[in-house]
Amino acid sequence: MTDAFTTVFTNTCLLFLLCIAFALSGPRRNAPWAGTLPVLGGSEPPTHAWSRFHLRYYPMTLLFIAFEMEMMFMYPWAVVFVREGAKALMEMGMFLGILSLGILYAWREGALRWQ
Amino acid sequence: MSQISWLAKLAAAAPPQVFPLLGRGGREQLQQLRVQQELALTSSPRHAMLLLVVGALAPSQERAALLLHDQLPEPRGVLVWSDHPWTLALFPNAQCVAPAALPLTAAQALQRALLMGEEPSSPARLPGDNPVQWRGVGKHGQGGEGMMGGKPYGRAMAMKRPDLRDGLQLDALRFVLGPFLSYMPPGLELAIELQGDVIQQLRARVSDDAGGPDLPPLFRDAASRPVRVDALERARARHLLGACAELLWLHGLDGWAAQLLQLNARRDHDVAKELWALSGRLRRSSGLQLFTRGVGSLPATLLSGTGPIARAAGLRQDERSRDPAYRGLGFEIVTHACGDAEARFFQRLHEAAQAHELAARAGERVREPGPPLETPRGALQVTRERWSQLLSLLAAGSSWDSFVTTLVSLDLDAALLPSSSNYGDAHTGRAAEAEEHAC
Repeated sequence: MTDAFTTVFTNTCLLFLLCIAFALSGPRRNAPWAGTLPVLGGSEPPTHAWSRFHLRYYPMTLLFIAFEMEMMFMYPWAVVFVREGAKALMEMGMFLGILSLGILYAWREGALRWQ
Repeated sequence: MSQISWLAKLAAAAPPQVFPLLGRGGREQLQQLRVQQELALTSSPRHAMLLLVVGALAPSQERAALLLHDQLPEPRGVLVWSDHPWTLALFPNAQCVAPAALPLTAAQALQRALLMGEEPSSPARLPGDNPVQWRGVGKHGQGGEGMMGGKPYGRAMAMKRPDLRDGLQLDALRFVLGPFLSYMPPGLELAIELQGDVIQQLRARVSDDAGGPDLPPLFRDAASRPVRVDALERARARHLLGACAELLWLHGLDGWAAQLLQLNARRDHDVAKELWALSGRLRRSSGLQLFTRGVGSLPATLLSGTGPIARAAGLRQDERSRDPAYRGLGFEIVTHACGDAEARFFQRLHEAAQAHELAARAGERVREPGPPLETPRGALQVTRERWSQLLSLLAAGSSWDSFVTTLVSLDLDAALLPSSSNYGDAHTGRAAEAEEHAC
């Protein structure tokens, strides 16, 4: 009981000290206005920098994740393949074939082109 | 307390972190510092303790200079490495260093004094409060256009605009860069619209009082008095190699840049030979090729006149071929074909090597004023408005990093660009016009 109390007390004290350290080292509320602006070589920003833009490599990322997951399926399949033999090989061939048609389609549509 | 003073002593012994505020005519001075490598030159005032003002500032640049001064964290100090009266008057409490001396000792002493508390921090020069408060169109300051409504602190939120690439309507980020960025010609301001990292529109301008052409002093003198040809050619080589070194620094190839400038400081006959050898090694440098090949192509069909930019695009024009002072020196016009950033780099490098060869052969020969003078930037027959259009053309549709490479490779004199009363027309088409003619 005493040990548990000591641990909780020590952790709470550490957390408290960390909070004080962060509060002291963080940005000051009364920082001068010029110090809060982005550096543009002497110009002031006319608009806010919060803007939405298109992540152009997004389709490529999705395709990468899809094929990454496909590789995950091949680990359990490798175990079954030892028992089932050619039948399992054929099934995996069909699975990969369907996915390959997908990648050929994505290729034709230009999803792999770096923009 | 003793631990703090021990830490302050250690910090004071480190190379001073300096942000250079580059005015007109200060580039060669700043390059001396880069070669010395005893000061740490930062690309942002946030990382610096000292503001180093080099060259001449214009009165219209006062607010921009003071804003950058205030963006240095405290404690901060100011060194003015110039004898320009208005620039000295702008920072009355700054330590001054004559242009002929190097500011190394002064910078080290000032950093030490600031860290040990012997010198007070330079006070903020602009008012501390935001000049524009949050205001919307509603009676409580709410509402208006944009993603969040209203204009927080007087600044609009980004509005939707079609992307040049496919017309996709997303937020366009608009801002103005300059007039003091280390990789831009001093005084140049660029109004930019970005979608992601692709430039949609760009307009360039300089302030009305930016001054005349930014030339090495000897070339200004050559218009009115006789000058020795060897001195003129060495000054040309110094300018051209300085422009080459800027491109190398931009891409982090500091070793090559320092090697170029160290060669440039020598006056013996082997310099030209070593420059040609260095050019061969740089040709094989994959780092330089990667950043410059095919970037910022300006074909000969868009240009006329003389200068390295025109000759890099294949135009065989150089005033020295008609100048009597160069007769019998074996001068031949050097050209390249592609007109891209790589061609401009090697054009300047080869012209610098040639200038050292001419200087070695010129002996006591003197050039009399009168015939048209070939300056290091040449005389492109391009109007101010056309320059602005060419920059817009090169920028539209290119990524930000490619455009910065293009800008540095052009070695522009800001005096060639439209003044602030005329913010040149933006070219909204893609860079296809230039690409059609490229190699």
